Amino acid sequence: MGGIKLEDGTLLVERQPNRLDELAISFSEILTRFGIRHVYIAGYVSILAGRARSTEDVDVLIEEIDEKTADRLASTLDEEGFWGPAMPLSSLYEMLANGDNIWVAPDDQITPHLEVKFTRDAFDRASLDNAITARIGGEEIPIGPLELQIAYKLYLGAQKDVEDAVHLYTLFEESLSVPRLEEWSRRLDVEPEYERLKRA
Amino acid sequence: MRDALDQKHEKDRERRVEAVKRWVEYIQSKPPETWGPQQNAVVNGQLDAAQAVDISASQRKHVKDIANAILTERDHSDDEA
Repeated sequence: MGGIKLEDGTLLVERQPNRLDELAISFSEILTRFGIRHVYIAGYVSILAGRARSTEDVDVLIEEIDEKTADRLASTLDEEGFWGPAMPLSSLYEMLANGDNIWVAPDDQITPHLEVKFTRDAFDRASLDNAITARIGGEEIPIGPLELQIAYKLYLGAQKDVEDAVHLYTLFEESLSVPRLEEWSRRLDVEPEYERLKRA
Repeated sequence: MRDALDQKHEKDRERRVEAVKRWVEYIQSKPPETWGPQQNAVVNGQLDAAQAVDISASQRKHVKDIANAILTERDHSDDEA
């Protein structure tokens, strides 16, 4: 029973992939081909882990890459049927280097799309450096560490974010690292929210 | 008036959190063949609905940017209060 497990640092999801998963898997495959470190974060991680809601954007952080690599990535994405719904893929490097994100989606599709960002702060870098593997439909993608995801969702604080935190915490309570949860809660200044989550 | 509204919203929030926990209990107690298609119906169904609405990428981005600006402003107001 169940079908979602956190085992030895790997999230195992036994349901069939949905359209968000398919998008994440196909983009991850291209980034991996280029050797670009990346990590899926935010709402998509909760949905991957069984949350019954959808999202229009799949957030993915990537390590900083140089302009040449970015241009080659943009060309490959174009060849493999992706486009930039908000800005052309040819502006990929410029957007990312300016601290903006860039939308990437299958041709002629706006939603769902990938929202690609360079890692910008200590929390982004921690997500990338401590990424765990999620396995679904025989494929693997890197996702942010669940303890940081939960604390960050508490920090964001909108209704859907708190619900995502409740979902992840309730589902994985037995497998999560309490010291890491406490550490991220302290660094994000959400200790009262974390205390409340534990009582929920 | 504002207090009554806040109380109502707090109750709504609690009910929604309870619903999230009930769903977690459900997916922990049932095989993925039972809950997986239900979850994917929600995920794919919401995407179908969003795709059926003819809104451009720039409009969608505009909505998101404005929402973020409002939330940021609210957070700053809360900090100053």
